[in-house]
Amino acid sequence: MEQTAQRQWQGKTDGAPWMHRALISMFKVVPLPVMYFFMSFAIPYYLIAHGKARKAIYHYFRKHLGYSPLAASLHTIANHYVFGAIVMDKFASYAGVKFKVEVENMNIFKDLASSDKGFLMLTAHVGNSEICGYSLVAPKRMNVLAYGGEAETISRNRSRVLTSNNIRLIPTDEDMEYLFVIRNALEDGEILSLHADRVFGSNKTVDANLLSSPAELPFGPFAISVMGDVPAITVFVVKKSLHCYKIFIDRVKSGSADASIGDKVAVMAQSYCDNLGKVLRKQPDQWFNYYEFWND
Amino acid sequence: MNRQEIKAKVDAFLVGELEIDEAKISDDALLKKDLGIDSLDLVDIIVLIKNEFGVKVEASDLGRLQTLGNLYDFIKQKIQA
Repeated sequence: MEQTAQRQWQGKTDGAPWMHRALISMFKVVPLPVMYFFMSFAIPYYLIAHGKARKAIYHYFRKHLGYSPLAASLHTIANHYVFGAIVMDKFASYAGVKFKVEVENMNIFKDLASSDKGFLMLTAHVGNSEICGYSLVAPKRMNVLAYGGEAETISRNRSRVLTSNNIRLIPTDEDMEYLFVIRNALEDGEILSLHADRVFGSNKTVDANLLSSPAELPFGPFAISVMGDVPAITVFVVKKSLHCYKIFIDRVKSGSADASIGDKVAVMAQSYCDNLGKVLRKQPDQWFNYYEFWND
Repeated sequence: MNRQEIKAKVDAFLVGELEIDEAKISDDALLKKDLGIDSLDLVDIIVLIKNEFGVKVEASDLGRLQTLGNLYDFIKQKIQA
């Protein structure tokens, strides 16, 4: 169930800081649809220049969702467009643009948020998980793991917006201090939000089936829940329309109390994949893991 | 609790839950280099120490914990404090 994986996300943000600042300034005066229009000219470049990413998404539609070659190709283009639109939305939100947000199963979040115990919010590279920070407001602090590859402009703007909502960004870097921040936050009954679909910080993985195909997920997020004895929920945020997002919240099942840590992690990982699979079937174009995610 | 009892509990966790090869367990074994313990395993060990021994490990303690022997001694020292 545990394997050593060589795959870790080495991602970073595209664009220079001045470009990010210019984009944020433009959103203060230019309407979103106009920005989408200009953004769409970049799509052919990314489709051509990033062949591996394009193929990975094509395989996702073709092999794991069962689309025909033509449908998979068209959806690959649509996927790139939606990704671009969501990136635009992030910059728009830094500029103060508001989005309407619908939430499914908000009662699950509220019940956990009102208890004294900490809990985990497991997200994925689907849709726009950043929107959670603006919409899921809790009477306790939410700690969000922020990965070291983010450009400073983006980190600073995200931090500025989220801090006002009682959200703390915890940078993950070589210094292991963030592990203690995580531990202390959960012990203090706070919320910890982190992605559970990409390996980072450790090569340990757990096997689970996503969309009926075997995949490797990071062992860490589930182990944090098991070892810390805190519940976990999945939170996936997808774009519904120009100014509207929808948040899907669901519980993550845990193994039986007397099971080993490894077995509990495996049960959680599969439950996470089951929840993720349901959302992907509703919004298949919003899967943004641009590499060969599955083992096949 | 004496050092032997501490060692027994820690070793049982390392072998049983972290699946570390029992043959590699020794006082001189370096946690990262010899036992392959990474940051994630460290979180699990920190939680184990808290749950089993009631000892809270702080970030400033990490520098002292290079070998398995250091870990046993650290726990013993904290328990006796």
